[in-house]
Amino acid sequence: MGPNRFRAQVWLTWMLLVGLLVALCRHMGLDVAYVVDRLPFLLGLHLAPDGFIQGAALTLLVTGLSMVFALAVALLTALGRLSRNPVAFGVATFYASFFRGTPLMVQVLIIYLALPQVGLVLGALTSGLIALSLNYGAYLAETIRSGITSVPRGQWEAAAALGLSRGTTAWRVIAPQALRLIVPPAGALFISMLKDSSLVSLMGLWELSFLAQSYARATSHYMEMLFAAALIYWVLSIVFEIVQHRLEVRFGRGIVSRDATTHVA
Amino acid sequence: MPLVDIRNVSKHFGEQVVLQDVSLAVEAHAKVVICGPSGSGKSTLLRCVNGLAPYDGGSIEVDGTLVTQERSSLERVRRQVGMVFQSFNLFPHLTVLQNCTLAPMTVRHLSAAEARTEALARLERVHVAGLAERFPSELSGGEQQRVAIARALCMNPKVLLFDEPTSSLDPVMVHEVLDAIAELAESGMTTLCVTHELRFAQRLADNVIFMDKGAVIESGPPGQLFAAPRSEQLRTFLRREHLPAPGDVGPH
Ligand SMILES: Nc1ncnc2c1ncn2[C@@H]1O[C@H](COP(=O)(O)OP(=O)(O)O)[C@@H](O)[C@H]1O
Ligand SMILES: [Mg+2]
Repeated sequence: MGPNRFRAQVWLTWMLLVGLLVALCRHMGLDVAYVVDRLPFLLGLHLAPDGFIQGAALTLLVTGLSMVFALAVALLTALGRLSRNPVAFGVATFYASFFRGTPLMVQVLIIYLALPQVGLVLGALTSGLIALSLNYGAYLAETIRSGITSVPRGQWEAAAALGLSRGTTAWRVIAPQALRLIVPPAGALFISMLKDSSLVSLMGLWELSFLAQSYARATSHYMEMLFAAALIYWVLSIVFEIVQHRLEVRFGRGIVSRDATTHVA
Repeated sequence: MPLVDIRNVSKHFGEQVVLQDVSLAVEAHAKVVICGPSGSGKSTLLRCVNGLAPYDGGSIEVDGTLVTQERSSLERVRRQVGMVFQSFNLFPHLTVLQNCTLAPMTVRHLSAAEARTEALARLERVHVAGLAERFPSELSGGEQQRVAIARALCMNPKVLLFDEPTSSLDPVMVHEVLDAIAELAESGMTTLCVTHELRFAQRLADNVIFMDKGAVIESGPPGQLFAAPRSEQLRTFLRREHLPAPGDVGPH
């Protein structure tokens, strides 16, 4: 089967499944008007009563900021893991071990509920950002480290032999090759982070899943609201995947690709 | 004064002696071939010359600069010395042209246009200018190695080091690369080449160095060295490499 025909059939199957889902919803007689009415709130087009952003906008803000911080933390940790300095190595492995070895939920609660006991009071948003960044930074560090070490030693040597500075070698030779390997697992981590950002609702922040639940509970429109929330998460995840795919193509230039059919998005 | 002056150099990896008391003077425009069994320290010696590997004792000078692991020494030395590796080591994410312009633009601070003009001229010299816009993965092994030579030439080195430049090539491509190296050497480029291609050594070199177990065992013009090997090690080596020394009755 040619790759084009395969793609077409995959699309067709997707369409069919979407159609089936829509038919099922109609069959259940869901209250679509209710969803449409609440949609601007779910998406975060309106601010919450306390003036804070809410819904999907808050979800995206938390995810976006945590991504940036997690990347910074992960890069430092990866360099620590690659360092010959025992202190840097020790700090990096200790941090990664703790944050990979404990549940994210416990980390969130420690930062938000336990730290105030010793006088360190952090806001809900700050606590959420710190917990997500540190947790995902620990995983991302490993991804970055293995991406860097996967670049063959000959690349460093060729760069050195040409007299390239360390900075040029790192950014122009090693990083682009490492990124090709880092982007796919990092993309998966960020999508997972998008979903885990719902944990900030523990601290009273009105992000997407929390809003959906409260609207659902208020009028017993569970199916409608939870389904709408799921759909929004899903669409966001697909957007993330598309960005990831673009980056993969960008950093895959010059490298012969092995599979062209696996990407649906 | 020799362009590359290696004096009594020694090097260890832990307990193992990899180079012992190696001396070698390479004059400007010389064509030197280093041969010897695998593990005899040939690559290590080349890597000491451009500072990719540190050495423990003795001294190496390139055009009057002592090779050390200090940044200032490495910068000066690597401006003078180009290196071509067995496995090409082209940058796979850059086109052929970008491979050749990266160092000139960032180290020599040429403009993009200047670097491009120079790179195309160097690529032309090894007959691969037509491949400038391709990625390394789209090239044959022989083409990749010639690009690697052009990339080294783009820094205008005074010496080129070759570490078994044809050892990972299919036999049909060996000649195009050896011919490119020979052309360069004939045009006056100082060449220090590690190779197992003894016929090439015979044709090109004005001096052949034979190494074994980290030491220089014999050296001299190829005609003399291969025709009348003095050491048992070189006789054994020549037999293995199918270049029977005269007087040898061949394998029993
Ligand atoms: N990085 C290294 N660490 C330890 N031993 C090494 C290293 N590189 C080379 N060696 C050893 O040094 C010796 C010489 O290696 P090399 O210079 O590569 O020889 P050749 O190029 O002549 O085959 C070999 O015994 C090899 O195992
Ligand atoms: Mg070698």
